[in-house]
Amino acid sequence: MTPGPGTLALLAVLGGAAALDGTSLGQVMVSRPLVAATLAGCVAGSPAHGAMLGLFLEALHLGVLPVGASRYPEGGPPAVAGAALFAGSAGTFAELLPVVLFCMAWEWACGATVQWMRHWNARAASPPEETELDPATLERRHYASIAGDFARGAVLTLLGLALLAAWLRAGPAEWTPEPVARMALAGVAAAGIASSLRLFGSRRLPLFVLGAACGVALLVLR
Amino acid sequence: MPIVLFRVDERLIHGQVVVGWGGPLHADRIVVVDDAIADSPWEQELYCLGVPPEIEASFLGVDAARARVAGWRGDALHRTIVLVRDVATLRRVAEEHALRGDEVNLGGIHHAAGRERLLPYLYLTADEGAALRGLAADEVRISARDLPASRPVPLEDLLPAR
Amino acid sequence: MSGVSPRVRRALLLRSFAVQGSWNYRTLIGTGFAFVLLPALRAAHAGDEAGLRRALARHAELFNSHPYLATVAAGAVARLEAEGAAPELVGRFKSALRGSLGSLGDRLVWLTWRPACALLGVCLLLAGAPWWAAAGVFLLAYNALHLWLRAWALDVGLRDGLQVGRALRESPLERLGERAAGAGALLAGFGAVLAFGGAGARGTDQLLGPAALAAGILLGFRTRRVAFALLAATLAAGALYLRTR
Repeated sequence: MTPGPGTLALLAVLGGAAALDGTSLGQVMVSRPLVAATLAGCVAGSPAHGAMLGLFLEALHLGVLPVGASRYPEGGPPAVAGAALFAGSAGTFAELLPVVLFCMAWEWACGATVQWMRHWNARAASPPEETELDPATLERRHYASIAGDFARGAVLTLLGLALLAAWLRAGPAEWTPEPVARMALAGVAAAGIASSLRLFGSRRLPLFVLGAACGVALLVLR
Repeated sequence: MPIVLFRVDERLIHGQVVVGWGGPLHADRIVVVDDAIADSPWEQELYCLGVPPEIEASFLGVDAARARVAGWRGDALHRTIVLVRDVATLRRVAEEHALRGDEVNLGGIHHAAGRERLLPYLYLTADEGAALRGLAADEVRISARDLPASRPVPLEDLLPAR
Repeated sequence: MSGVSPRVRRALLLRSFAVQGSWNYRTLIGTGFAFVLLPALRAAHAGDEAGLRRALARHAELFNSHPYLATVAAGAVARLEAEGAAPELVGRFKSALRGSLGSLGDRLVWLTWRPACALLGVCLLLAGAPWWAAAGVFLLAYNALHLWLRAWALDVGLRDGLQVGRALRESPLERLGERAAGAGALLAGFGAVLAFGGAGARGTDQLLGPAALAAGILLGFRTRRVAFALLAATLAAGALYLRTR
């Protein structure tokens, strides 16, 4: 179940890239749980498993607002770590449950490190008394911050992998009956998706209900 | 008391003021007092981008504003937020006792050379401190507070005793 | 677009992808903004090394913007510097821009476009689409706006300089946000139903579905915390049951 060294290196790079994409570089959204977990699943041998984990993590990420300086959970590195290990499992909901739980907690921890990094990045800023700034110095500091963010992401991915692997060895994948795990996860995903209505405005409730009706229709037809 | 907020904030119109203060205070008018901006249509256009449609925004020079303060105070129909960029502008508006008895909020002045940190959101020079003391002597009640839910810090607690 | 060469423009656009690279609590996006602007400043202060260093220090000061709209500021400032505008004027321009670029971008991108596109991917997956379709559609749809926005913002800045306010006010951004929010709400309802509907609930368990939807709507941003607690409780209950058997 644990990935080999070559895969681990790839996963570390992926986690670092996901961290960068989250705030520092690009922001093309490979840092979103849906994408990051799917990519990690590809690396670890099962993209479908990765997408499955990504689905639940994304459902719970929809309501997260990265507005300015507030603290928020970070999705990229935890999704990579979680998907890498879940990819090696049978893909049941009972196995998914502890992984989702871990990822949610790890997302919160990684988010805290984002705040530390932002404090650390203040060394890239000159004191206001300095009226001249050397271009080479500016670029060096800027690139150093970017490199730091990448390193942070890689380390947190590997650390997350190690912690999750250790925890999974204690057998939490066997604690919950499959139907119960499935129901709990499905309910939580539904709630997470529904909570995104808050972003679009509660006056859009009629559209939400319309969408729900379409969903019901699809279920009935299937 | 239809001047619901008189605030010194170098960012002038921005999210924290509009949403954080304007919302709870139910303000429907924002007045920016600044000589440079009052003469500058492009600047006004930019500041107006941050104003929601339900709030009316206007931009006045210092002298014009000083003459209108009493009117805003007594206006039963509008709840007004007055914004000035810095202590110097505040002092000029307060000339001729125009702000006597009013409450002034120190909301956001950032770190710059020569400024001392008093609060995370408030940095003042010695001159600005003296100017504020002068205003306080003229019965202007000055305190620092970044959001309505925070506890206000009165001027006496902010500035070191002389 | 006088004074700003195509080469510099390309550099501004490319560098804008790294504008938040050194985001910090002291200068916010300031240092990154100076990084983006550097090619334009080099051109504007060619031959005047000291002038370049002073300009760079000025632009590394406190500034904030949404990352995708920072090119409005970069383009406009590049033009102003090329035209030799006074530092004080440029400073006032940046102060006036700060609030609006931030809130415009936040409202359109983070609060509307991104969740709507994510919901599209999620719904596709729930409806049975293959894994590459879900992630792929999300990335394509999202970045279509993202990339267009960066380029459009740069054009607006370069073209209008100080007058960008009008272009921003008359932009299609507000309307786009409204449409996307509508689509998002539709997809949210659709996805929420599919998420629970696919769980194979029988009998009274089926009531949990509407309950979950209602909980999500009512709890809003607190849903995540409650979800975590619920999942943890489920796992713990399972462990306890096994222990006591």
